[in-house]
Amino acid sequence: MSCPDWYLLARNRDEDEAAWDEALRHFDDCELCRGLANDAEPTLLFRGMSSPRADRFGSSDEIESIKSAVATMRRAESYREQRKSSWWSRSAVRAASLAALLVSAGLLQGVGTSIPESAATLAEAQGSEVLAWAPIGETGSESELASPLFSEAQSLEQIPLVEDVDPAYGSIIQVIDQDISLLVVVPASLDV
Amino acid sequence: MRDATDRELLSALTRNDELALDEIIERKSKPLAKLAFRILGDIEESRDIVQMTFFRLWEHRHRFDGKWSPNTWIYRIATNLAIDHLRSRRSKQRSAEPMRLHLQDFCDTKAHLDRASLHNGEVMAIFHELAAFLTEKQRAVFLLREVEGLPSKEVAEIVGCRESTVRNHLFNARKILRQELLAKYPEYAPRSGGRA
Repeated sequence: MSCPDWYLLARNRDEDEAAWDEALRHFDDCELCRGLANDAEPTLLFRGMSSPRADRFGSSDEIESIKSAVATMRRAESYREQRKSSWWSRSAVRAASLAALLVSAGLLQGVGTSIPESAATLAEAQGSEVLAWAPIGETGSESELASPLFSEAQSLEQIPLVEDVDPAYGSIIQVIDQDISLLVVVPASLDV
Repeated sequence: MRDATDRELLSALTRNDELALDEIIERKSKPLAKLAFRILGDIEESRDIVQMTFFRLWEHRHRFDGKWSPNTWIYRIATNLAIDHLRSRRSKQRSAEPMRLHLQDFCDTKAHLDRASLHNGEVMAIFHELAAFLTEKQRAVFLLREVEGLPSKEVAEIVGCRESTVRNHLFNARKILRQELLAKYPEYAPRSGGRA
């Protein structure tokens, strides 16, 4: 290729990319053209620029260090993934256990035969008959409701009942109120 | 592995072949480091970008689309990471400041230098000073097309835009660089002032 008209080429460089690229290959080898081409397109100053530091990059030590860094990142990611998936499976087990507990608690409350240990112990200590543990208005008669024993037992209902469960799941706290029964599951990690 | 083409290596990656990744690292570290350095102007940051590029390449190995050229795919990851990194720098001024201080030293003695004798590192330093006036995309497009010499079509695939947008970025990047070169380094600007 003979020395081209750089001003013309520079004007049409975006329209005729192939011609410009071919001229640049000529530019790289032709001392004569360099000044003219730079006049026509000053940004050619940056063509082929490099840095000694960047050029030195790529020694076998550096390549090995990159391989090692990438391998470390991959292992870390894989570990994170494993933790994430085991967290999900643990959560699934927890959710199933909680659901089972809730169903059991609901059944016990509904049947009305469960007597919290603290209430039963209190009744026994006072030498009374077995106290029926049932929602007010279902099985309790007017006289039962009026008895001091019943009201004492009823006040016990207001005290949160803390049951120990599998340490992995922490504790379950049951708060019973007149219209609501609240079950709170506290993870062991919270150390409550 | 050494005889495998880049495409074969990327294909092996999708089969979780770790040796293929090592071979890609061998082949592509140097050109990627050069590209990242041209974009960022910092060798340590460039090294981080190169490492992250290979990590991403592995992470997204199943997303490789055979219609891409392997180089385009790898350059795309590296360029996007470098652009994101540039964006994360607080301000253009802050990014230019270390280079400006570095330039101050050699500018004092550069009066006697002519363009032909400009050291490559100095040209790079001038570029990084002037490139602070470009957007991240303009800078990446200029480097990929004008310095790396990639065709516009491939540049468009790498930066994820249309060819017409690439031409637009290029036009603006050249214009800004010409203006700044003329204003700050008139001794390196053409006698006619270029065609800006």
